[in-house]
Amino acid sequence: MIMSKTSWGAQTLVHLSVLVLVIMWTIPTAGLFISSIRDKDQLALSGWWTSLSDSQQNLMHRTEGPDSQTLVDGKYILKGNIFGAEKANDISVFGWKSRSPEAFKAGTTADMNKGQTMAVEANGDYLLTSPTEWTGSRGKRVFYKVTVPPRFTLDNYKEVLSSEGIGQSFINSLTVTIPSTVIPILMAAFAAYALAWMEFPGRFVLVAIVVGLLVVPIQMSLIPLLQLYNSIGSFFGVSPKGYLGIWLAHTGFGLPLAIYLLRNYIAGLPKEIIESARVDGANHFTVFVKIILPLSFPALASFAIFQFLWVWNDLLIAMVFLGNGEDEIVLTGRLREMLGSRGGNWEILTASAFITIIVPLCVFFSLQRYLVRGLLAGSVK
Amino acid sequence: MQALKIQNVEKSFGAIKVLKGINIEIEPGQFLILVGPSGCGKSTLLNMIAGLETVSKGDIVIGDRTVTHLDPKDRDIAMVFQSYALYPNMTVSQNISFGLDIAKMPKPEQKVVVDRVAKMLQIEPLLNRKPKALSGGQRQRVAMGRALARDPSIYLFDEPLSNLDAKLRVEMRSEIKELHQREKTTIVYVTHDQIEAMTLADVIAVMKDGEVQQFGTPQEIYDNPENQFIAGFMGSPSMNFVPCELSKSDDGYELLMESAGKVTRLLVNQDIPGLAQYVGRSVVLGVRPEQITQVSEDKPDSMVMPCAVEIVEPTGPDTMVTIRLNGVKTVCRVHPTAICSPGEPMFLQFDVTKAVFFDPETELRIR
Repeated sequence: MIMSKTSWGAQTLVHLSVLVLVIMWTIPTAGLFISSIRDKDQLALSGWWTSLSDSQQNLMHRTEGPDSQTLVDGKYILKGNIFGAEKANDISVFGWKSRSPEAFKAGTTADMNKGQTMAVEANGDYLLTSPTEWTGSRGKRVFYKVTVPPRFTLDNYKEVLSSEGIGQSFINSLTVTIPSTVIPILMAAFAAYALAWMEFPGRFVLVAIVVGLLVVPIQMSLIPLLQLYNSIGSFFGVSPKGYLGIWLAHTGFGLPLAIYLLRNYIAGLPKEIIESARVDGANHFTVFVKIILPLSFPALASFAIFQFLWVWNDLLIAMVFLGNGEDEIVLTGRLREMLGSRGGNWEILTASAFITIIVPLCVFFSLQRYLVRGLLAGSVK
Repeated sequence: MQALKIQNVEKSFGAIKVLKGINIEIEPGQFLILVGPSGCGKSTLLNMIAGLETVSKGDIVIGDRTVTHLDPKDRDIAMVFQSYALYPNMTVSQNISFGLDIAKMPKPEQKVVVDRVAKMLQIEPLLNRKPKALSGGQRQRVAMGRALARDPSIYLFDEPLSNLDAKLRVEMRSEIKELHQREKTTIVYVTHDQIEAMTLADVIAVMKDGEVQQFGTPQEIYDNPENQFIAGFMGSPSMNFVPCELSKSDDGYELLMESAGKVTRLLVNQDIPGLAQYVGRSVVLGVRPEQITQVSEDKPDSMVMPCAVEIVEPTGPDTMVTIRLNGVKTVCRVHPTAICSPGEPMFLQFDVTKAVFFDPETELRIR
C-alpha cells in the first residue's frame, strides 16, 4: 500500500512537472507566433491573448476636398464614406477636433464653427454642411473610433524576409550551421571508434585529454584562436573573417563533447558484435562503416541536435569569426541589430524571432524519433 | 596433418596466469569440446584460437599455417558466439552473407550460399527479417548459418546453446551433431555443460584453473577420469566420493563401508597395483550412481548392503535415491518400480568392477 501510494504520488509529480514544463514552453512560443502574424496596428495596441476579440482603434480620416462640394438648399455639402467602398467597420464615436476625438456618438450631428455641422453614421457615411463655401485645398479631418475585427496576415513575414534581410541571414545561418554540425560528427565518430575499440598505446591518455578539453571555456580560447587562425590564414591567403574560420571554430569547440559522447556510446556496444565482424573478415574500417555507424545513430542524432542548436543560437563565435556584412551576418546577429534599430516594431521582431526558432524546431522534431532506444534489439541475447 | 595444433599456449593478464601451457591437437573433421567450470580459461583459449585475444606464449597452428599473431580475418575461421552477436541493423540474409560480402564474393554466388545455408538450417522464411523479430532458437540458427556460409577450416562455438531453454537446447544439440556428421567439419566447442560435452564431442579437453586436466574421448573421460575433479565434473548426477578404509583380504582388498549402523566389507575385485600402498589407510571410492542398484533381499553376497533411504527423487526413467555411506551422502540410480520411501531400509548392490579410487590428499587417481 505504502509503495503504491508513493509511486502514485511520484507519478503525479512527474505528470505535473511535465505539464508545467509544456505550459512554460508552449505559451511563449504560441504568443510569439500569434504576435508575428497579427496586423501590426493591432499588435501595437493589444497583447496577443486578445487577438481573437475585436479591438478599438482611434483613427483619423480626411474628408473629400472642397472641390467636390455641392450646393443643396443653400448649403454647401461634403459627403462620402470614411471607409470608401467597404463599409464593414463600426464607428462608435467621432469628433472634429483632435483635442476631443470622442466627443460625439455616431449617428448624431456635431456643430462645428460658423454654423458648419458634421454628421457621421456608424457605417462611415459622413455629411458636412456649411452655410458658406468650403475653402482650402484639403478636406476636413474626422476623428473617429472604430471596432476592428481581428486580422491575421503574413505581411510581417514578407517584410522581414525581403526588406529586413532576415531571408539572407537565414541562409547565412544555415551556411554556418550545417557544415559546423556535419564536420565534427564525422570526425568525432571516427575518433570515438578508435578510442573505444582500437588498441594503441596512449589511448586512455587521449580520452583523458578529451574529457579535460570539455571544461575549457570558449571565452578563454576565443581570441588566441582567432589570432592563430589569422596568422595561419594570412600565410595561405585566407581572409581573416569568413565561413571557413567559423566552421573550424565550431568544429573545434564541438569536438570534445562529440568525441566524449560518441566514445561512451560506441564503447557500450556489445563487444561480441565487433568481434564477430572481425572474425567474419572485416577490418576496422568495414566494422566502423557497416556496424558501428548504423548502430550509433541515436548517439549521432542526439549530438547533431545539440551541436545544431548550439551553433544556430551562437552569437559570440559568429561575431568574432564572421563579418557584419550582408552576406555574412547570421540570424542571431541580425536580431541583435534589429533590437537596436527597430526596437519599437514588434511585428518585425516577432516575425524574425519566429523564423529563427523554426529551424531548431524542425531539427528537433525530425531527429527526435531516432532518439528512441532499441536499435540493438535482437543482436545479443 | 592436424587441423588444429595448440602448442604450449600460455596467457597472462599482468601477473595472473590464466592459461598455463595448453597442448591440444585435433584431426580434420574432429569435434573438440573444451569443458570446465567458469573461469577455467576455456573461453579465453577459444578467443585465442580466434585471434580475439593475444597469445602470451606458445603457438597456434591451423592446418599448416602458424596463426599465432595473425588477425582474426586472416585465420580462416568462423565463430558462433554465446550471445549470437547478430548484426542488428541487417536482415538475416545480410547477416549470413556479411562475411562473403567482405570477401568480395559476387552477389549471385552469395545468394546461392545463403539459400543453401538457409535450407540446411530451415530458416528460409526468415531471410528478410531483422534479428529483433526472431526467437532465441531462430537467432541461434542464424548465428550458425553465418558461420556455415563462410565455409572455414575451423568452426569455433562459444557456449552457443547456453541462452536457449532446456527443450530447444536438446534439439539444437542434436542438430549440431547431425550437421557435424554430415558436413565433416572441424569444430572447437566451448561449454560448461558436461552433457553437451559428452553427447557432441569426438574428443574432450577437460579444463580447470588454466590447465587441461584430461584429454580424450568422452567415454575414456567418463570411465577413466584422471582425478577426482574430472570424475565429479563429468556425469550427472555426478560420481559419489566415499572415503573408506582399505584393508587386505584373501582375494585382494576390502573396503569398510558403514551404513544404517551396519558395517559391511566390500570386496574390490579389480587389479589395481597402486592400491597396495594404501592398505590400512583411507582412500576415496568413486562410484557412479548407476553402479549402485537395488536388490530384493539380503543375499549372502559381499557386494550387497542394507542402507537407510534419505531422499527419493524420481526422474521418470530412473529414480535417484540418496543414502548415507560412511557419513557421506551417496546417490544411487534405482529402477523406478523399486518402491522406497525415506527412512526405510533398502538393500543395495555395489558394482565395484568399474569403481575408481582416489588419493584423499592429492585427489589423483590410484592406478
